[in-house]
Amino acid sequence: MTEHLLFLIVGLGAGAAYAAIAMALVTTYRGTGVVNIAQGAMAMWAAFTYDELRRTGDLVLPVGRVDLGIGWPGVPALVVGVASAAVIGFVLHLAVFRPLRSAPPLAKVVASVGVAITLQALVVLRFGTGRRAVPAMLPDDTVHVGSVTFSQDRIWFAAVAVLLAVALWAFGRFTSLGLATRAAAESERGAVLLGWSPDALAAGTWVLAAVVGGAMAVLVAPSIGLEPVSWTLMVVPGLACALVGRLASVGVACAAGLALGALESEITLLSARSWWPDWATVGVAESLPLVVIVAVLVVLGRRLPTRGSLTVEPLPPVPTPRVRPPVVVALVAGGLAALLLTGGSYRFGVITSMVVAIIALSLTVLTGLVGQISLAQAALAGSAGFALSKVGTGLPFPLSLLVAALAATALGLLVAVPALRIRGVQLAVVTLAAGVAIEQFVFQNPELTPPGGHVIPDPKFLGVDLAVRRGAELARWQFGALVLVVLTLAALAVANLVRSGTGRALLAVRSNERAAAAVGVDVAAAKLIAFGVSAFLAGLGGALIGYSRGQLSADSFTVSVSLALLAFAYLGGITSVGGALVAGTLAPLGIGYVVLDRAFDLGENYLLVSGVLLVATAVLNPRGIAGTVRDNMASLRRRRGADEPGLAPSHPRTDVRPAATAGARP
Amino acid sequence: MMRGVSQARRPVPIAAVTLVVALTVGAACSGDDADTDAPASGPEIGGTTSTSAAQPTGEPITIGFVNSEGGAFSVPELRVGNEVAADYVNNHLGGVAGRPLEVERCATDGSPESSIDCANQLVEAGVVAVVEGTDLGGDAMLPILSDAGIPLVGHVQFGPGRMFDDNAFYFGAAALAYGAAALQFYADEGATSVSWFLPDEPSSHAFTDTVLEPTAAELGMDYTTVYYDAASPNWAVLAATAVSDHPDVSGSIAATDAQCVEMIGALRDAGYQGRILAASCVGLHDALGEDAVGVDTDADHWHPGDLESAPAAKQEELSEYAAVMTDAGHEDLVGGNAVITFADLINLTRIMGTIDGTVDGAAVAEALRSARDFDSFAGPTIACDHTAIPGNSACSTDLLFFQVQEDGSVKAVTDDFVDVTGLL
Repeated sequence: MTEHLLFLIVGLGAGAAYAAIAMALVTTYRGTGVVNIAQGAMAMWAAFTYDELRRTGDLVLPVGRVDLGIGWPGVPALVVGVASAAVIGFVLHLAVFRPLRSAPPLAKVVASVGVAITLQALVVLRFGTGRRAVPAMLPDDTVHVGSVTFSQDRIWFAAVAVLLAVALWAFGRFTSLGLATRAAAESERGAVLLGWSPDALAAGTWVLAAVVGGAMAVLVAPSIGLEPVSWTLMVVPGLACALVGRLASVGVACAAGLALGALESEITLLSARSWWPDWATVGVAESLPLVVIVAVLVVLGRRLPTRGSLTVEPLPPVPTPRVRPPVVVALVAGGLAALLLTGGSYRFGVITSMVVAIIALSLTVLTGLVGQISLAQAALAGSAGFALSKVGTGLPFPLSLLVAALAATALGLLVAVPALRIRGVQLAVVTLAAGVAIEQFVFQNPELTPPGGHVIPDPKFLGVDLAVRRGAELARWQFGALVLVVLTLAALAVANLVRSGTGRALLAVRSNERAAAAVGVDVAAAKLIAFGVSAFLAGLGGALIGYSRGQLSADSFTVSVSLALLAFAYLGGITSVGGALVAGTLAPLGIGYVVLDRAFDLGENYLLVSGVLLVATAVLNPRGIAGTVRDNMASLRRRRGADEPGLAPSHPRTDVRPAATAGARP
Repeated sequence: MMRGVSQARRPVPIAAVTLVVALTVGAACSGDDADTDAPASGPEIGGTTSTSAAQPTGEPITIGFVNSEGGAFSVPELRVGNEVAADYVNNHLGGVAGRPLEVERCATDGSPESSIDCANQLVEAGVVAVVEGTDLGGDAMLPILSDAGIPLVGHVQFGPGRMFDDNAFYFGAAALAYGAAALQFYADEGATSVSWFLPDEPSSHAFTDTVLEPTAAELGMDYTTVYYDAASPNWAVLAATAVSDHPDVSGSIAATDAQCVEMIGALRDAGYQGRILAASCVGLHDALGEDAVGVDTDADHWHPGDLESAPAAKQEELSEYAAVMTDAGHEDLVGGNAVITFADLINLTRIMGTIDGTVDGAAVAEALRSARDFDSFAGPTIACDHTAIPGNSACSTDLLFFQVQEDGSVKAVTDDFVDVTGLL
């Protein structure tokens, strides 16, 4: 019993971090309506700033650093670290989320994903290395209680978390500013009528949330470590706990965070016991947030609060593709020419672009057509790749390719189950947690993953060698042609889907689920179809990545990769086939990346640039690069007197204003 | 105590288990170290280093060098070791068989994608071998380099693919040996129970089942592995888990410097009184003070900071290394892991110097396979014919153990390399 008590206490370190992130998420959501995927990344900036001040006395800025002397003491470093997070919060409000205040949830989630990518890349660039051992702020002497020995900082962490929860509760309950913020959360229009500025309140909310997350990050980092990727993903357990608090109660969110940390600790102990099943020794603790999130959404899904806003802008329009044979032939010929006229790493870049375009098409279907945000596409792609390594030797190509893609489809449909009750932001949360769970529980599971890695045999069809490489030839055109065929078929299928009755049903679901249901659209079936098609496409892409590598690593399919995929798909244009092609060009190892990297040595800056561009696209140009190009071409044609393609007359309105206008509740 | 001991012994990789070995090095000296950002200029060989040979002439021999820099894991120190060694070879050793050595360098961020990009670039550059500093995603290079007939050379086997690839040659001790040698060392010291922390990866589980548990059983020890999430280990929980079994020895055979610091701190906080193994970590005393005293570390080479313990010939090599690094302006890195990449390049060029005829990938690979009873720089006698452990790409299984002293220095606690013959 004392042993279990010890582990509950020890787990309060991570638990306090989860609690703080959860409270910051609740605070942000209540005050602004944004589910801030970048909450963990913002918090870690404070901790890195603190650590650097303690070590070197340097204040590290996004650009440049200021020498403030050698080795600052703890409290001033804490204050400056937290202040840096507060500044980030304020700047994000001004530059990103204020312009997006009436944007649809998709744009806000995408923007926060862009912020998370940007901050993570910035931390890597500005603070250099991986995990840091951070000097402690709170007393960490060992204490003995009976036969239990632990560091007393655990008690301090929990106490600070509870104090923060009480402070936030009191702020919201007893101060006029807090009451106004709560009022605005219920009805922005009402707050305006009472003389409050929703913008000013939102700015205060962003700063407050950043301070809560940043302060706890500084305090806890000495205990649980400081490293960019894991702190960015700290938002996953944070979201789980925030959902337990129904995105409304900081007190419940805090308690849930502490409890989750303690539970993880207990599982770590139990999983080291001999009776614990081997298949469950990996990734169980990391999968806990998914279990919590799904459970909460299933139980509370329809009762989770949404936040009214003054206006809601339309989603990016979905152009109706016109499949004109000459255009298709020209595009295929262009792809073939790109393959034949390049060589070496450039041809490999062309092939990679085509593969990523197929995965981006999966987001076109799911996010562009149905408005469902998935942050697990890399995990789905990876599942197909790993399935291919299992069946690739036993089944002939292309049967092996199809079976692998179908494996991803099955997993995608499983992930889709919660989507039948939820949508939009909540689904993004589920898929984010699912991505982490698949990565940790499946890809890293020794029962499923051979210790020697996932080796994938070269494809061969009707005696033709379709291997990606032979000898020093890095990328063979034969493999490129195979990928081009798959991409062409996938693009035509998606284009036809958009124009079909099914596509119109999907678009109707995207615009307004209730309205769609009212006119006879089976919303659940439409969502399942979209998830299935999307997962199949992601699976095709994942399997082709497997063929192009010859050996797969789970590191190619992490949640961070999923975030990057969404970034490039949105950047290219999430609602169109052309956008997917652009996304493929821009993705890492794609031809655009290779050309830019060789010319400008972008290397480590590439992710930072892509994050910034994603945020800019979400704010300034939600139609993406392809949409802009299409607009410009249409404008050009108009000037020349040509017919304007525009949206198909039969296309349902994709800019239908949802019912959730000011103060309205679904 | 022991979980699922497998009776069938088969060689199995341990991916991240090897992490520490080279990496450990990095944390203390890498990252923001301004010295490591500037390419090292050719050392002005003066009175501190030995006499220069004739300047190399003719067509350069080009090799590649891949290292993790700028990403989540960054070890520029290893690149510095390679740079200084390359200059030393050209300016001091007369090149490779009289021909100048050129090194095409490529930085990765740890992702398989960046490793593939580097491999593609190096194949196009026509290199005859690729040397790995450390690259977490390096397994992804294997198919590309193998198809191109270019051998991959390194020190620490970071991924499962690299452990058993015919085209890979690792001058350091096999990852498998780190676990077995540590168990042997502590068995000799009288320990009867051991608990290691290992990264939670498939290869670690296989390593536990097929090497650690059978070896411990053979040595009459109780053994437990406590697995941790390599990306975000919660050391307080992990330490409490390990301590709950009251082992005589705990610690890690694979961790970064920062992980070692956190691990030792957590074990001390948990009231652990037994011996602690902190992989190949360095800089522990600087970070932990008295808490680091008495902590054991391992290495597959003699330590530049403990010349007295090394044989005379190795003392000379280490002194030469220190002088060259100092002349190149990297005195602060002498005690770190730059010695690994410095030694690797010296070893490779010595082996390449034996090639009679065309120097290409196939010839280099053949020369490496022929390197048996090879006296490695600052290390043991090694054999790169994949027989040290049958089928394994490591050239050695030999390990030394050191202990952190009161004054912060390290001192060897084994007279010679630990013999793990018969355990693997």
